[in-house]
Parts: sequence; C-alpha cells; structure tokens
Amino acid sequence: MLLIAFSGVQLHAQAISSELDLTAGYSGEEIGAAASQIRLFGEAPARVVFFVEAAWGDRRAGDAPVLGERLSGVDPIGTDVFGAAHPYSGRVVVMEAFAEKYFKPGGALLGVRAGRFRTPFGIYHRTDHGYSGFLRPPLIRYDGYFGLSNNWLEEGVTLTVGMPQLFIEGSVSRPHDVGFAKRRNGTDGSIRLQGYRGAFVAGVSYARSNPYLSPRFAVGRQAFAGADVRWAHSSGVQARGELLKGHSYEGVSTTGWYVDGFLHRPGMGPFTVAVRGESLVYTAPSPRARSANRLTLGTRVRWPGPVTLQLNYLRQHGDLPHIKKHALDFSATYSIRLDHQFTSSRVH
Amino acid sequence: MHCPAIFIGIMCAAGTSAFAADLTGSVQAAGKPVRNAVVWLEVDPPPPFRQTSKVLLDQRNLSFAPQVLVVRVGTTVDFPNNDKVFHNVFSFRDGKKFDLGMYPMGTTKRIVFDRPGLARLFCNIHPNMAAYVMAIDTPFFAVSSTEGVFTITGVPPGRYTYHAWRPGGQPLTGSVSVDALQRLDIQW
Repeated sequence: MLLIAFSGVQLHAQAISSELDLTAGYSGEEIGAAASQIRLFGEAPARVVFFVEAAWGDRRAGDAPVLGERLSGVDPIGTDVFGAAHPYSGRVVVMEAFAEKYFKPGGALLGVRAGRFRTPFGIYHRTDHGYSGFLRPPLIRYDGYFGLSNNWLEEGVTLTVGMPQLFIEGSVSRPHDVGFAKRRNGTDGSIRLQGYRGAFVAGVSYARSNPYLSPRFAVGRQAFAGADVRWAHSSGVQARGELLKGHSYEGVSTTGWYVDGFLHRPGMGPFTVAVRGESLVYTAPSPRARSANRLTLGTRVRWPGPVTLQLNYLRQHGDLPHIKKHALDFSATYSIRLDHQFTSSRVH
Repeated sequence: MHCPAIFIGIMCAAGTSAFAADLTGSVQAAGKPVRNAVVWLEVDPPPPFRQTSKVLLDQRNLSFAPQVLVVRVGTTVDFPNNDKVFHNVFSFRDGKKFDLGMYPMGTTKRIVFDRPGLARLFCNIHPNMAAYVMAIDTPFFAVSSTEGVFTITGVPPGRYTYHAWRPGGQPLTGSVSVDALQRLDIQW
C-alpha cells in the first residue's frame, strides 16, 4: 500500500542560481570604468530554463583627444574600451530576460525561447565576449562601428531545430537596444546554421533589422551575413573567428573579421593567453568611409577565489574614432555565485 | 532443520552482518555538518572493477552537477553539455589531467579516470564553475549528505584504514573496525 501510495509522487528539483559581478577597469586611453551585473537563472518546473540579467556600467574619460571624427549616434567617449559584452551607458538596464525549453526526442534537438535576448548571430553569447580575456569587443561587433553589435537585444522568439551536430536557429523579434546605438523599431529576423564535428564548431548566420542611424540618410534595411568557426585542441589551444559582410543601411557596406587565439596549458596555472587580430572596412560615399586594423595581446588570470584579472595591450591604426594608437587596458572582476536547490513533490 | 521462521530471520540478519556490514557515520568541521565529504576504506588488493552503468558529471545552468563525484579507478565519466553555451572543462592540477575543449549543447565527451587521485575541474570560460572528481581504488566509499552523514554499504567486517577528504580541507586518515554496531564520526 505504501508503495502504491508513493508511486504517484514525483520529486522535482529546481535549481536557481544568482551571480554578481563587480568590475573596475582602467585604460591607457585615460578612461576609467566601473560595472556590475546581476543575474538570476536556473530551471523552473518542467525544465524551463530562465535567465535574467541586469547591468550597470559607466566610464569616465580624461583629457586625451579622440583621434578621428566621432561617429554620430554612438559612444560619446569615442572608444570601445570595456564594451565587450555590456553597455557603459551609466544606467541600470535589463539585458537578457528570457525563458527557454529544449526537447531532445530521439537524439534530435528542438528548442523554443521567448523574451529578450542577444541577436542570435555568429558568436554571440555573453560569456563568449565578456571576461573571456578581451576587454573590447571585436571591431565588427561593437555598437556603432557599422557592424553587428554584441549588445543588440531582440524581443521575440527563437526556434531551434535539428540535432546537436547540426541545427538551425531562427528568430523573429523587435529590437530593444540598451546601448548607445539603438536600432529603429521594426521587425527583425535572423537565421543561423551551426554544425559540430570533431574539434570544430562552424556556423553561418544572416540577420536583417532596421538601421540605428537617423532615417534622414540611413535608408533601407541593415542586413548582415557571417561565418564563424571555433576550434579546440586537447593541448589547451583554442581558436575562433568570425567573418562579417553586409550593410548597416543602403549604399554602404561593412566587411570585417577577427580571429582569436587562446592558450591555456598545464603549467600556466591561472593564466590564459589571448591574442586577437582583426580588421574592419566600411565603405561609404566620401568622406564617411572608414577602416581599421587592430592587434590585441592579452592575458586573463583566474585568481584563486572569485577574482578575475584581465590585461590587454593593443595596437590599432585606421580612421575609426579612437584615442591612442597603443593602449594598455586592465580590469579586475569580483564574482560571486549562490546556488539554491528546491525539491518539490507533486502527486499525480 | 526444524528452525522456526523467526530463527531463520535472525540467522539471515546475523549472516548478513557476518559477511558485510554498513558503516555509517558523520562528518563535521568546526562543529557543523559537512556535505560533499568523501570517506573511503582502503582495501589491499582492491577487488577487480567493471563499470556497469553510466557515470555523469553534468554541465547545466553554468554549473557542474554533482560538484563532488567519487568513482572507482578505471571509470569512464560522461561530461554532457546541457547548457546552450560552450564550456571548456579542464583539470590541470592534480589527479587526472585533461582538457575537453569546447563542444555544444546536447553532446558529450568522456574521460577515463585511470589513476587514483583528486581532479579539480574548472571551466575556462565560466569562472564560477568548479567540481571535484575523486578516483579511488576501493569499492567502499561514500559522500556525505547535506546533513553531514554517510553510509558505506556492504563492507566485510574487519579493521580498515579510512581516508576522508572535503573541499577546502586537509585529507584525514585513521583506522576503523567495521562491525554491525560501529560508527565513524569524522571531525575536521
């Protein structure tokens, strides 16, 4: 009788985690920064995964002059430092806030996500760019450099269909940007195909949206196509990169790429070496055309305990707005995480 | 041959304890219960081991589950990625050393823990992720619960050297006699 009585009871564990990151940074471009993010994420009943992140960040610039002309509608300080994965707008903003559910019937992969999320294009996850070893986003992924920003947010739905080795992810949404470059309202769409084999993960993406610049001269739609690849070797070497081509409005074009390398081998302890080479070419009627190249050497140190240090040296040239041709950027991040496990019983 | 049923029951119970007992105990540090402490008994020679079921160390919600895993030497541990993000699990410090690289959601990589020792696992992308895999060469081990209690089942009676370890604590060792009434209470 006891067994029968308990056979209808299902134990269900719900895990909820909270994270807090506190960051302070300084750049040789005479810019200081502070930022904080708080996240709440976990599994609700029925294995629905949820994620909410709020962020605040602010920067203060010294007297160093900006080289080149500042771009309209973008960062007033005139540099992308510390903009890797979160905006530094001086306001508290809700970044991603979504719920998603994945089904894995017979080895297939089906997923649906609803809410606010980063544009599912290329290498786009927060942790791919924030605290990964680089203190700046790739040139092609920064607000206002005529590419596709890491910080652009969509409000809508994504569907994922396929299998872990090969799947398609499509989204329909409206823009909800919280950084400096805010796209005009409209219907956004993106589609991404990702494959995985051996040590390689490769994908191709396409996204359409409205431009972020004024409709007085930025007419038409922005559209970008991209290819991305990641490779990892068991010796502790990783590489990844993206190629982007498209236009942020009619009559212009943006072409760019970046390649990141990471080295973290036994004996290096908490140190990870990071290297990035990148290029951006923006063609537009004179005198608006721009181009830039940048090389970044850096390290990330996972200090014992909750502190992560990042140090970057970069050398850049071109005519995108920037403050110095050489820069040394540094940040320290303190992170804490709390996990809560709830077990509930349901009688059927 | 004319044993009453109750006598048979007593003999069965006695027979069980004569060949194998359960060693229960508690783990405390500074007077408070310790969860995820590993307690094991040395046996020499260790009985042969053949893995009969899958052992998982899940990556889910940017965390490892469980955070302390104990396996017999020779166990293959599956590391499924159930997060949408990539993880990069590695163990460089002690015990089994490996780097799993990146792999996407829904896929699994495997590692054979073929040498005894403690592997400290981290994710090179998510600094809050950490776990321990303790590979030991004995079938008699347990992990303490949230209440700091443990039970090592099926131990033949006798005298054993025990070892205890907990995250952040020094390993402890001592001896214990295993019989039907023995407890092992460990204090850090």
